[in-house]
Amino acid sequence: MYTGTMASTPADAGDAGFSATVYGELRAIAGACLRDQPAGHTLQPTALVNEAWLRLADRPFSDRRHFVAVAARAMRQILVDHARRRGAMKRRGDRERLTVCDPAAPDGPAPLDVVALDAALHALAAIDDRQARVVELRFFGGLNVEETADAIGVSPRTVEMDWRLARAWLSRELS
Amino acid sequence: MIDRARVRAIFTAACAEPDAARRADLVALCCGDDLELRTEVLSLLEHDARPAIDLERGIQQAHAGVPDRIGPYRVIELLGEGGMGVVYLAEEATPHRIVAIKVMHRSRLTPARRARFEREIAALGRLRHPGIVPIYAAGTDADGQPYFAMEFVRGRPLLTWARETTASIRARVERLVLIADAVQHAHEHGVLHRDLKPANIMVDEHGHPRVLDFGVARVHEPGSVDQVTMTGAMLGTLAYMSPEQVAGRGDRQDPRTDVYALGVVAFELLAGRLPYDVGSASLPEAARIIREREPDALSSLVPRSGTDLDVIIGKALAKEPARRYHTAAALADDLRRWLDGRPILARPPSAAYQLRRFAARHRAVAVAAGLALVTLLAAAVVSSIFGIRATRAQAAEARHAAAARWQAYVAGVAAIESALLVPDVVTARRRLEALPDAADRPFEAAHYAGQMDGSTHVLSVASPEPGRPHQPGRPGHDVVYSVAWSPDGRSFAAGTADGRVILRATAAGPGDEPAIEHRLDSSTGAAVLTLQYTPDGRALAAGTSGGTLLVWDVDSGRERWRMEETSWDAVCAARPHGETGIGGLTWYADGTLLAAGGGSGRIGILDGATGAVRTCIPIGPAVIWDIVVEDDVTLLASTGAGEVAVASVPESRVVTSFTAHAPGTTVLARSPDGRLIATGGRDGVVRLWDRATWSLARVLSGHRDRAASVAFTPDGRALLSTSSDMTARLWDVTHGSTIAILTGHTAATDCGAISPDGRRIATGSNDGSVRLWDVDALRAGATVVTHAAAVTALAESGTGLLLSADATGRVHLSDGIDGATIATLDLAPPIRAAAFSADATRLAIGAGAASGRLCLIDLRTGVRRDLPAGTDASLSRLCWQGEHLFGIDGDGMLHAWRADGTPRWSVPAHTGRGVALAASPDGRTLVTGGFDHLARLWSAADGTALATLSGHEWVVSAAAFLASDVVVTAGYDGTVRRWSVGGRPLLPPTTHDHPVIDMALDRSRTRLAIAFNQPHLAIVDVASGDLVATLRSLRTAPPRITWSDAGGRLLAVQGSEVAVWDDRGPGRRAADRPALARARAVGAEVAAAAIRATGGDHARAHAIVAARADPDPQTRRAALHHLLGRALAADAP
Repeated sequence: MYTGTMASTPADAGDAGFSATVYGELRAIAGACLRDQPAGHTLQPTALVNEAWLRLADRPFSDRRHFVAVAARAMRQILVDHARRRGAMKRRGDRERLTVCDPAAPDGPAPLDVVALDAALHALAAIDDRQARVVELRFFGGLNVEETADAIGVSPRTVEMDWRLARAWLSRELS
Repeated sequence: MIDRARVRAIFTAACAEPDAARRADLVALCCGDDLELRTEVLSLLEHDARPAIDLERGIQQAHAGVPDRIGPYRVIELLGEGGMGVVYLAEEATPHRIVAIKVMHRSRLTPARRARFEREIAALGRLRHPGIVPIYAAGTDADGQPYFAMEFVRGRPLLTWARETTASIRARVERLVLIADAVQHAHEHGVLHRDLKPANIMVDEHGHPRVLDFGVARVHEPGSVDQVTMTGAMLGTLAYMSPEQVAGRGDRQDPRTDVYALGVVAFELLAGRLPYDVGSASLPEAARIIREREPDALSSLVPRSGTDLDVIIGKALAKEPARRYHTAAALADDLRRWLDGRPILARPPSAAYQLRRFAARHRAVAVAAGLALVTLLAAAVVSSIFGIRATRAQAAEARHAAAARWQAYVAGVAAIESALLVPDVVTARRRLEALPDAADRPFEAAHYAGQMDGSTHVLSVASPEPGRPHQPGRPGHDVVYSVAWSPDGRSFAAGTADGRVILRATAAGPGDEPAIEHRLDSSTGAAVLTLQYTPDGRALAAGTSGGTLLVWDVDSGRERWRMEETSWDAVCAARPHGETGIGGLTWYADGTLLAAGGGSGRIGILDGATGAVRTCIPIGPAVIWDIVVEDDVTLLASTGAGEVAVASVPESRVVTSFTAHAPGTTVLARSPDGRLIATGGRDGVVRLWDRATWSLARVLSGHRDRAASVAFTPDGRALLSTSSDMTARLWDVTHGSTIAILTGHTAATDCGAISPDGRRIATGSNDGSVRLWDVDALRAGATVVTHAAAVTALAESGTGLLLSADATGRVHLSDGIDGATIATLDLAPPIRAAAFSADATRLAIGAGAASGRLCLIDLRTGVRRDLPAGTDASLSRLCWQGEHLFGIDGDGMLHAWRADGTPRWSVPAHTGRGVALAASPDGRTLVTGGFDHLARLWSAADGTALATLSGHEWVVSAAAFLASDVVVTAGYDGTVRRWSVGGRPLLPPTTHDHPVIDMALDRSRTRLAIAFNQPHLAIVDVASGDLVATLRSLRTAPPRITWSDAGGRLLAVQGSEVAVWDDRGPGRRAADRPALARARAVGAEVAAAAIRATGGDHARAHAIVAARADPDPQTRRAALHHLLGRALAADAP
């Protein structure tokens, strides 16, 4: 049974400098994509995380599993910070939505509000930490089921069920 | 509070139920009357079916609509979007024309970078070339986003054009020439493309290629750090990115990056696919592929392309920029030569270079799976390359003779290196003999030559008996099948394939040839498969492949008895299986009985005195290879079925047996304490079994062919195995690791034995020789000095005096040849710097951290002075130049002292730590290197700064003068750079794969040794700059290296040890030992006499000894060392 908490990723526990490095690197990359961005832009967390990995791969840390956990957390922070800043700039609560759904599918789910998702994830972490981590790794880190399973050390089946439960829970929370 | 575990369990179960109604029932059933739980689960299930959010989509691409206008242009439609911006098709009113507009993402152009953008646009505007799509205008749109308008090209992307027109190879190459011309034009105007790919090259309606999208190009300003493309790596499309780009070295990009991309474009255009498949690889994996994998040969994919195109594109795609065409023009030029049928200028990569990459990539295979595969392939590479060269270069033959010779030499050394990795000494030796200038062997050739035979003696058994015709052509005639040591260790016996047994007495000293004591002959003509001395050493038993057992009296050489295995039939109930022949025999501990067995599958227990068979134990149908007598009642036997059988003697039967190996020759040995049984099989694996439980205790893998014999050392801590792979191995039984690989035999090595004192090994081989080995020397390997802590400083006097200092401050002065201690000193740690003066009369050691000290030793008098160094940080490096001493410290300060330690001057040389320091041979210039990524040149007279060498991208860790006007520097960025003393780069930098930690130039200035943060050393030829060897027999990355003597010996720190790479293997080292000991003894007498003659005046004694002509250099050196040791002991504070 998974008993860790979100605050105790290996990076947080072992090496604050590592987190800072990854965060810094991702910021540098993502920042260029996000800063003062025109409405139409591309943001692919997988690519960003991979690029950060590529840049940092020659450095002393080379455990990718360790890396993605930190990177997903960093991505979450970066995106939420960004959305918050944009929201503050526009005053009122009409926050910039980082992601909109496919316009070709009007019946699909509503656009996702990153700030609200972040808040909901905090709430979810309080009742099921691992589910929140799965969402973080998959959504913000761009990992697939297998990679997520590998990153947190559970079976892909478990990840799938966590994901499904978390999605249902977040859907209810955010709707 | 809802139980989340129950929610999960019920949710999971419900999810598995497709039918909605039954799912509801299931939930109701599971939740019982817990309403809250039921509501929760149902609510989650509902959201699971129709989620209000789309998490799957993740954070994805989103588009705003297409703007109506951008500046003065009316937007028609969106053409595409890339990493750096969006491209629209638009219409301009006046002049009326259709344009393409690229709107840059504003992030690329924050206000601070606007100036750069404008310069870039200006630069792009200057580009006027038919192959480049022109820029019409630039500006900012309503949102303040910068854009530029360019010609809209009607045409097809390059690959589409090629596919749709089914263009010929020639037509494709013609396009490539034009593309390279266009890129060259941009380069000449200081613009790099940096995102060349087929999608960025259009072929217009007239068939002309047009390069567009210089969107990520930057104005090429040497020395400026590129900020605009900070997000570098992702901007280009990965497959077209050069190795240096994927390494994320954005500021390392130069025109050769575009040359690389042109190479990829050319490859894809000609071959129809990319040079490497990175499609399904993860990004880091793809990056690794690009950095490491060699592209496929174009000619293998495009039949009619010929090898010249291979060479051209191979050169454009070289991993190291320095190996590529330096300009796009040079690439265009060679492509034109190809089109015109003229000889191209590119040379194929040298055989050595290819082999080196090959060996690097296949090292794991070579070592693990091995066989001579690597060598074979390496040889094939060499021949094919030479083949190409032969067809091409006839005209230039005379002109290039020297170069070809050199290439042949480098290729030969690389082939030797590969062969020794296997290890395959036969191939290695053949390659060595084929080296040009074989007589004059440079360091690496001499080193590898020394690695080929680690034995102390090679004794041939080929010489026939007098009066007996030697039959060299007869298979097996010269083969040694068995070997045994006498219990007193004084002599050993070897049995041959033609039935002879040769007894030799080992000589007093390892340098002497063992004398033949006896030549015995079984007169059966059958191979002597096994030999065993009686415990008292007075008799020797032999078993032959013909089934004869013989016992000789060792002293007289007379036969005591002989017995045919067939005579057992009278006693044995069991009929013989298969053939006769004695594979294994062993004496009982008291020598009264002998157990023997072989082809018949029976073990006979015989009377040692008469050979009469007492008992017969049937083992099975398979051949018996080895027999071990455990006690009076139990025997072990290994069989050709791969089995180990445990037999009860009283019961005359096999009690238990198990399969230890695949069927085939299986050999057996018992540890001295009886707890372990070693077996070796046809699979090359040696297994150690716990005798009590027969559980597998250890697997010793390494042999690449049949393990032919196994034997424990007398202390039971090591195991010897010999193998058909031509090697023997000494294993650490406790750790299962290899202590040493015994290379030297040139054919299958069937037998081996360890002397009773455990210090010598005899092995016999199908090459017709017995080799003797020195166990201590094999164990010591290359180690000369051992410290109790990590070695932090290393220096050598040039006269064989070695200094090593460790982390505890202990300094060893030792004989650089064998590490014999001359003196030890204890100074304040850390000790990072030490240097001998060129004439080996002075030694300086930097000790201690803050307010460090300088220890100066006069090596003639032994007078030692400890002075404050006048530094605030520990000295990183010291060097002498004549009567002057220089040092650089951890604060980046450069200091100069007189020989007596009086300070002359100090200047701040580097920001951060200073680490590298060297003085020019003419004594006028110093070079330093530091953590500020710079190397600097200084006047040695007064510390005036002469020049700053900037180019390194990381710490400059080592520096040397190749001549008084040529400096070489190396750094953590993996580059080695040459500079004039004026500060000008002389050659393109050589790039290595790993950070350079230290570098050492030999005294003859012909070889540069480079140490990395990896367990290998590179040897570079100074004249050509070519990498000539990679020494891989290191255990750890060496933090410090130095050359010794005249350059034939390279010393490197290995953790707490210092090891040497020279022209000697363990055998030679062992053989040298007695001579060294003699020289040391005589030297001590010479030294004592000199001290007596001078009344204890060390300086005069030193002068007398140094001037003496009569003792050989070895003795004189030993005498000087002795004097120094005594002087230092006398002067000890």
